[in-house]
Amino acid sequence: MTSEERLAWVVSALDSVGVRCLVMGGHAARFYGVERNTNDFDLHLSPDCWDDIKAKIQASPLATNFKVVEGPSWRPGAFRRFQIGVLPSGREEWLEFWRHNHLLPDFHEVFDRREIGVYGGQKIAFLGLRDLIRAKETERESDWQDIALLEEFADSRDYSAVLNGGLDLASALSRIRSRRGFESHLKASHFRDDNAIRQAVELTASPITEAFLTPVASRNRDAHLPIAAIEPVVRNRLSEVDPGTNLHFALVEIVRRRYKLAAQAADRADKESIRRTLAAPSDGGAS
Amino acid sequence: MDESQLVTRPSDGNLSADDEPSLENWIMSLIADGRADSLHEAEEIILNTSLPEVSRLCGSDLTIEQLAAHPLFQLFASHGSRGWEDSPL
Repeated sequence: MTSEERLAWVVSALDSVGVRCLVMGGHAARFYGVERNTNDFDLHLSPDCWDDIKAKIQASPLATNFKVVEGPSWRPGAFRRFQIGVLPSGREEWLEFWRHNHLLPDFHEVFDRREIGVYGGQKIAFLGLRDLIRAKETERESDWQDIALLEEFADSRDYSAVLNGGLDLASALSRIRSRRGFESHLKASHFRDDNAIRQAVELTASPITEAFLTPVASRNRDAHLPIAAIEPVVRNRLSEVDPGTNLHFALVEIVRRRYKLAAQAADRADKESIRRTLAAPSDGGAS
Repeated sequence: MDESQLVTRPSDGNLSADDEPSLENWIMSLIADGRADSLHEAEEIILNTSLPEVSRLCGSDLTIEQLAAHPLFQLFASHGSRGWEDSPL
């Protein structure tokens, strides 16, 4: 059984006992096209399944030939993990559940944006691509390597969707995160659409996208840039450079790198705060 | 990248467009000192360390052309997501 087939079997086993979840983590990255070896199963669980998840796992085919054991959690209340097997290599096989991921909105919102596709021979529900990118904005460098590829995939899909009428141009421009994505729209002369650029600038919530759009937005007199995350001196230069030049991309990389460092620092601070809470003396709280 | 990996460059002066050798020396010193295991890792350290410097340069009197020719900005342009030709898609 391949890793993909094993994931499909695990999701199917959970489904058979009424557990609703979305696949995230390494398997989701693989589903979207990142060539990446992974053996763990990372799932976003519907909150209504949280309290009795252990009982449901034990009642599922997962527990037929293996004594499932719950492992320690470093985020009690938000994250649980269960050992469901041992790989031929001797490595333990873990099933990990998020009730609430600190980088994502609540389950119902991300569930509405889920993507369903065939993986391991079965139809599986995955975290949406843009949500997966957000979920990977952690302190881990390997997650940012995945992000670099996933951003290209996401931008490429948006670009194709614009061409086939499945997505409006402003929405696509408002989510550009990769150099390739920007260049695709530049080659297609999409930045001649003043209206779309103006809407995109208003819609975007990312300083990286803003850095990509500023040189083209500055050619549109009413464009408004609402995000203050980019340093004014960098923004001034962005409004001077020609779009698609090396200097433009250097400035985007400056903004992207600041964003990444800030996201890593925020994730690290969040983890440290949980560690401090767990280390603090308590009178019998969660363990 | 761990904060402890951040370093200051060995030279006291500011890098300018004529300072390619200085940037190379900085890279080599990071590798020679064992603070970076590869060229890529050394460049990553330099890029993160140089963020305040590039902000200062953005706010300076340098023209767009001078900024574009500056070795630090060229280094930033060579990192980040790949362009059309380099993309695997």
